[in-house]
Amino acid sequence: MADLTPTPDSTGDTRVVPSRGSTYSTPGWVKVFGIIVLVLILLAGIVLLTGLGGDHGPGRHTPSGDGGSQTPLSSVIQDQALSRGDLVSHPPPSSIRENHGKTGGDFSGHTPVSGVTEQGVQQL
Amino acid sequence: MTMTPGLRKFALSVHITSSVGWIGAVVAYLALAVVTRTSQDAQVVRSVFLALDLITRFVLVPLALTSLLTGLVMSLGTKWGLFKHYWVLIPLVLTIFATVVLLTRLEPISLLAGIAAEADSADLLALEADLLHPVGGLLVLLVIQVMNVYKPRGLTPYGWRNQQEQRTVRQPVDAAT
Repeated sequence: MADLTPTPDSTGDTRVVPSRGSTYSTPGWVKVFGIIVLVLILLAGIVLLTGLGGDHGPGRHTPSGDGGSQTPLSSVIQDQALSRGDLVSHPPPSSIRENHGKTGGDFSGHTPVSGVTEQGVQQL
Repeated sequence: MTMTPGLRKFALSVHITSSVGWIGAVVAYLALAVVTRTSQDAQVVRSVFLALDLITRFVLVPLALTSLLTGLVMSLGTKWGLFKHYWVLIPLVLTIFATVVLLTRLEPISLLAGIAAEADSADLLALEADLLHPVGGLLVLLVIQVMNVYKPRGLTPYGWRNQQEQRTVRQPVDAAT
């Protein structure tokens, strides 16, 4: 997304070219930016490795059943995604549903969505 | 290789349009994603999931690829270069990163749309669209945008060496004249 409107002069030397000295030094803002990026990468790595952020994948956004028998939704999920092999399903946080008045579906003898906890996360 | 002024302006127009459009499309995506978490109307939720899939495939991905491609063309076709300035290099890396993440989200989003298309009402209300990736993507795009507007000073080591070499070559010429 580079807006390259200003064109450098024939030497490639423009107002954004700061280095006039004989030794090179990395600009301060680049160092700060690099540190911020490094911290964010570390945080993301920690969150992923420790599982603090929950499971990663599309299944995290779908409600789960108890897996004992087929439900309409799980059938759909399995039909469409089981072959992909990496779906982990868990329900949305109950607080969100409660806050917005959503209720989990008690479908076909399965555990109601609202009754499934984080411990109910299952591999499809 | 340097582009002609007319070609450069055309490429720049396409680049700005696609880049800003990408940001706008992500905002629209976010608005719809929030609806999946707040709406109590199953049909609305179903429609939104289908719309998210369409927006991703036919708006976000084309805009992202166009932005990346025109960014490369603009960099290589002008004397700014691709690796000389940090304000060009960092947005390039971030744009590639954002595009790759977007492409990896195609399948999950499509999967959710497929589920939403067939799920019953109770199941639909339990489905939620992902907010983490679009919010993160929006932040990355805004960083890129700000960096390209302000163009903070700073040569890369490659750009610095290139500049030094040009000066070394130019000095004898200047002395001769």
